[in-house]
Order: sequence, then structure tokens, then C-alpha cells
Amino acid sequence: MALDLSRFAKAFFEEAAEHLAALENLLLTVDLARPDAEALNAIFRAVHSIKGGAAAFGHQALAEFTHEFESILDRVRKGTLPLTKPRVDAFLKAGDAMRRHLAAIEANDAPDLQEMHALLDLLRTVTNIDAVTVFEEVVAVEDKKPPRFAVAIVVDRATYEPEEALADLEESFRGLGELHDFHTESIDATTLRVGFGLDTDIDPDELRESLEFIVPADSIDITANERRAARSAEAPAAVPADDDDGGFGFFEPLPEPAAVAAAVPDADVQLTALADATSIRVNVAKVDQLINLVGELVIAEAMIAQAAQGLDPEGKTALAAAVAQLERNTRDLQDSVLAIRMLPISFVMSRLPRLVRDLADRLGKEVELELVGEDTELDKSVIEKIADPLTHLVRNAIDHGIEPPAERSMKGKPRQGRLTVRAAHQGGSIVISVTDDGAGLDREKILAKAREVGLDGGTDWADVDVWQLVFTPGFSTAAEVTDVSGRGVGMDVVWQNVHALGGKIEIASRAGAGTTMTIRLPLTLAILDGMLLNASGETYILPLASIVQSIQPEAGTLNSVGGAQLVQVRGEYLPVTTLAGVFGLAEPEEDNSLLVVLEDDGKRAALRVDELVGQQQVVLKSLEANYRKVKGVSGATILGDGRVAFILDAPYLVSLAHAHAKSHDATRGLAHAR
Amino acid sequence: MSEPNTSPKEFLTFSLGGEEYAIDILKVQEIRRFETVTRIANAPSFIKGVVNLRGTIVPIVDLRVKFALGEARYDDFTVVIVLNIGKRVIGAVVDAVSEVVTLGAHEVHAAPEFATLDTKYLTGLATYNERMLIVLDIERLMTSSEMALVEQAAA
Repeated sequence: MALDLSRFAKAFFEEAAEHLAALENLLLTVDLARPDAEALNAIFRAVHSIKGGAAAFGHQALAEFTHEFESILDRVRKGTLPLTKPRVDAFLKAGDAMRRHLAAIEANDAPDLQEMHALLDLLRTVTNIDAVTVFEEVVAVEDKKPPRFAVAIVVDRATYEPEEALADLEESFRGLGELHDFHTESIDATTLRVGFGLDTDIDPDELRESLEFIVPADSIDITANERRAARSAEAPAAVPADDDDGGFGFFEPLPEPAAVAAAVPDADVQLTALADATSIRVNVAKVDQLINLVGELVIAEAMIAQAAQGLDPEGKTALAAAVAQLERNTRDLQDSVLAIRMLPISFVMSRLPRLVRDLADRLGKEVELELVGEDTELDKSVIEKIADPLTHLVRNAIDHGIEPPAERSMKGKPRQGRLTVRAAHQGGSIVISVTDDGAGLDREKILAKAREVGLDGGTDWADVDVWQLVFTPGFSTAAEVTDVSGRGVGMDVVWQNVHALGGKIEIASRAGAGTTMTIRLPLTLAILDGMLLNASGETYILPLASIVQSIQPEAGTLNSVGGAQLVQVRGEYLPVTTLAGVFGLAEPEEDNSLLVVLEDDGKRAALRVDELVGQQQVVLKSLEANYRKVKGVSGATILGDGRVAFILDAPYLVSLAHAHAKSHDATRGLAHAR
Repeated sequence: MSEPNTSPKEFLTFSLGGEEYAIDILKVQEIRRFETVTRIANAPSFIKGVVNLRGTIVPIVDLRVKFALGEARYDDFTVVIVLNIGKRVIGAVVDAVSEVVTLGAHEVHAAPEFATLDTKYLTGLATYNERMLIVLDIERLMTSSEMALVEQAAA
């Protein structure tokens, strides 16, 4: 059994990504005029931590890069190198390069070393530092002092028994610093003690963190050599590296010692952009609650088993009580499990400051971004899919919405545009809005464009209807195509993505005052409130959200116009569709059966069903995992009796009903005549 | 799968009509009794529908209907071979599952053209205990476009 280093490597990549996200976030928020000492320390620490990991895992180029980057940041931290906008820009670029470098390593591609060199040059230029400190120097100096740390690690023999595994382990320790006297001794039949001395310029806490990458935390015992540490403190120059910068303040008292402690990345800093990570970090309290609930569930189950053994009238009452309790617990358990999948939307929102900054720079605009409700939690699967549409809306707001500073001044607005991205829970949905105080949508321009591309846009249309036109594929009113937006792809893609998530998107806009785009999404894609119904001999489920009402059609309300059936509901003519028609089944639905009125995107249609069975929360299952997509079906679930039931795709049914009616040339006039 | 491998492999044999078929046993996950399926709209007749297999939704293909062999009856004795094809789980209905046999590569011979079955889905023919076995490349068959089980763009 060889030691699997890739496991630790994954942890390294994840942590590095977090450090990079923290770095970016800090660089974006730092006040150039009066930088916060804590923030500067945190910036330094982020790069420093990546350096440690890079060295430990043998990513030499990255280690060298981060070393130099860190030297610069150290000067910034100590106040000898003031922060300027070009410098922050360069630092951000360095962060990007590190991210790409890491991605390349993780994908086993060759990282772009030229890019790293180019960036080093850039860093040197903007900081006027040309003395290059080379990473090797740090480890190369050999002296006869006793090593700074004595490390003892107790490990499971079985894992490290083969010589290669041990050699691997030694190799990974070597990356941490200079290794002395690596030896092993048996404690008993199953455990092994690995001991070594380590000479390194990192502090004990960091050493412990680095070791925890490699071996379990509770097996590590570190003893610092006090005499050596004290000597280092007295004479920082003894620590190898370039003169006064070498110790990075670990051995010199910093101006504000408290600031160093606070600089450890904490809650403020843990914003990440780990959008496609397959693992999720879970709050321990959530997991504990889950475990407790499972315990309760097991007890309730035992109660049922016991009560069922002797079933007399008394026993039946006991059984009913136990079943009720089981039901309650199961529901709570389900909620808790779902809570595990919930992540704060800051996972997506934390990317926006950078995006806004870069975009505003490129377009010569001034934009202040405000984020509200970053803690709003929603399902992981929804988070991943909302990132692109949200980014798109933000781009659009900056490109088309917010005017250039000069134009804003002329209009009597502050030069700096204001962009607010807000997230909040509303009932069972999450509402995300992007608001700008820009020019607003131009009603006339949109209508003119609509006519140009051959859409019918009536001048008497309500604003809301006019705004919906921008979601038409190929529609853009941007006077010129920029590389940011204006190609007419975008808004229709946003619309599609949001609809694919079962959501809606609304626009509110006032000329001259700005635009608000509001996305309304279901909280989770894992469960769904559905209505069970029978039609054509099968049980189907309709999402409750798409049902407006169900009616028993009275004689005379059903009309046949040109082959299509229409039903009159509250004065409106709706096309009637049947599942038999959609799915090509025999048509057993009776004419006196129920009609369920469905709504999607403002359009309504009636679906003929035999029977409504009842409302039920269903767990969504993928049909495509083992089969393929079926038209008219958005997914499947498993019913209480273990059978599979399909969930109907309400938007598809509605649009199909309308298309069908239209092909019979029936509704359009009637439905709109209202 | 198709790489030349001379070491003997195990096959599961089953009957369809009067013919005996063999498939790579490593593709077989389990054998189950036929359960009531939920019909799928607009699917070909040999796709009977989907069932719930411990929480996953699994399509059921009736090979008897697909190859027009045997009688497509569904009773307590109808069996489903649950297959693992790539990352997918697919159930196949057959007349009866027979046994597990070991065949060496040299025992499987190239097959002549069949009327019902495209030879590209056949690994070959083998003789076992004086019976002829039709060795199917079940993965190729199940992922083919004519089975309509897999989205072709993704396959």
C-alpha cells in the first residue's frame, strides 16, 4: 500500500484557491490611501501560505514566484512600499497567473512559465525592486546549529511499512525545510514513530499546518528548539535570505503584534470562488443536528416495530402515535439534509467586485458596487448555475446601463455609477436583483429594433411587455458591438438559464433613472412541491408552482375552433392540451374530466387530467443519468409505493398548447381580444 | 473490451426464443424479477419503461421485442438482467438466464451475417457443451443509436 500523496495535493489545491480568492478580495477592498494593517498582513499571509504549500509539494516555479511576490508584499506590509493602483493591478494579475498556474498543475499540464516570468518583470517594474531574491537561497545555507524543530509523528505501521511509502513521506517533509536525522522506530506491532529534526524559517503553527497536509493532526508532536529560536530573534540577519526582509517579521517584533495574529484568514476572508469544487465544507452544527435526527429516527422506528408486535386496540393507538412521530422526524431529517446542500450566495457574489473593477476600467466608467444579502443560502446546484446569468446581468448593467462619467455629470448624476446586487429569501424562492442607476431601457429604441428584426411590437404595449423583448435571441440595442456585450447573445442565454432552473426574470426600468433586473428562483432543485394526478392511465406530477387553478369545465365553456380546443376561463380563451396528445398515448381522458390551468411566463394553457390525487413533496431524480431526455418530462421521482412517476414539464406543455392552437389559427386573436 | 486478451473470460448466458446468448459477466450488476414499469412517452416498443432500482431510475429494454425473438410475456418468471454500461445502469428483459460459462478468446469465432442482428454487435460465436452461443457485445449494442437509450450527441 503506497502512500497516496494526491490526497494531500487536493487539499493543497483547494486551500490555495481559497487563499487566492482571499488575496483578490483583500486587494479589491483595501483602501489605497489608508491601508488597514490587518488587511496588508492578510494579503501577505495568503501568498505566504501558498508558497509553503507549493514548496512542500515540489512546485518549484510557483514557490519561487510566490517567494518574490511575498518579498514585495512584505515591504508593503511594513510600510516601506506604498500601495498604488498600478501596483494593486499588478498584484491582481499575479494572483490570476498563480490561479492559472495551479490549474495547469492540477490538470497535469505544463504551466506557462513565460507568463510567470513576465509577471515577475511587471511586479519588479511597478515596485521598482530589481534585486531578485532566489528561493533556493532560503534553503541552501547550511550551518551547524541544531535544527529549530524536533518533530515526532506517530503513524499506523500498515500505511508506511513499504520502504517507498516511507521515502515518499520523507520527501514531502523535505519540502518544508531542511531535514536532519530522519529515522523511524517501532512502538508496537501496529504503530511506528517517525522522528526528524527540521530547520525552517516558518513558525511552529505554520509548520503544524503544513504537516497536517501530510499526516493526521493528532499524531504530530513538535518541539521547538528554544535556544535556536531565541538566537534567531536576537539576530534576524542569521536567518538566510536577503538582509532585513528575510525573516518576514516572524522573528522581529512587528509594529502591531496583535495584527499578525488577526491576519490569519478568518471569516472576513474566507470568500472563495470554488464554483466547480465537488466537495463542500459543512458547518459542524448542521452535521451534528443531522446525526441527532437520525438517532431519533432509529428510536421512532424501534417504537413502531415494538408496537406492531402485539396489535390490540391499545396497540393501535400506540402505533398511530409512533407513526406520527416517525413522520415528524423524517421531515426534519429531510430538511436538515437539504440544509447541508445550502451554500451562501457569496460563493458567486465574491467574484463580482473583481469583474466590476476590471470592466469599469476597460470601459472608462466609474462604478461603485454594493452587495447585499451575501449570506443568503441556496442550494449548491442552483448556485453553480446562477453564476453565469448573474455575471451577464452585471456586465450588461455596466456596459449598457451606467453612463460614462462625463455624461453622468451632464445629467446631474454623481460621476460614479451605483450598482447594487441584492439577494434575499422570499417565501420558498430566492430573489436576486441587479440594480443600476444608469440610463434605463429605451422603450422606443427597443420597439424600433423589434420591428427591424421582424417582431411585432405594438406601441400600445405595456412597458413590462416591451422589456421582455430584450430576451429574444439576437436582440441587442447597443449602438456598437463591444467586446463586453452587444452581440445580441446574452440576454436570451440569461433567460434560458434562469428558466432551466425553474425561475423567472423580471425587468423594471425608468428612462434616465436606471434598471432593475430581478431573478426569482426556487430554493432547491432537489425537492419539489408537486400535484399528483392521473391521466391516460399513468400517475404524473405537476410542479405546484406552475398550477394556477383546476376547474371542472361546464358545458358551453369548451369550444372547438379550427380543430383546436379552447376553454373559456374568466373571460380568457385558453388552449386545451392532453397528455395523450403530447405523449402519443391512447386517448382515454373523458370530456367531462378536470382541467388544470398552467401558467408559464405569463402564458396560460389548460391540461386535461382524469383525476387529481393530491399534493406531495417529491424528491427529484434524474431520468437522464441512465436514459435520455424525454420531451414534456422535466424529471422523475419515486412515489410512496416505490413506483417511478414522471414530473411534467409545464413550460413545454404550455408552449406546445399555444403552438398547437396557433397552427390551427385559433387563439391569438381570441386570447388577445380580451 | 475489444483489446486482444487471450486469458479466458466469464460470460453469462441467457436464452431468447430458441437461441442462446452470452454476455461479458463483468457488465452484469444483478438479475432481478420483472416489476411493473412506468411507461415512457414516445419511446420505441422495446423500451418498456423505467423502474426504481433502490433510488435510481433505470430504463428497461425488452430484448425479446428488440430481436423479435420469443414471446414477450410478463409474469413472475420474467427476468431482468441489470447491466452496467459505462456509467449507466440499464435493465434487459430476456426469456431466461441460464448459467455462467468460461470461454477462451480462441473459442469465440467470427460470426456470419444474421438476419435479425447486425454483426457489429456480435463478438462472435462459441460452442459450449455442444450448444451454440451467440456472444454479444452488449455495451456496443446498448449504446448504439438504434437502441435509443443514450443521447447520441453525448455518446
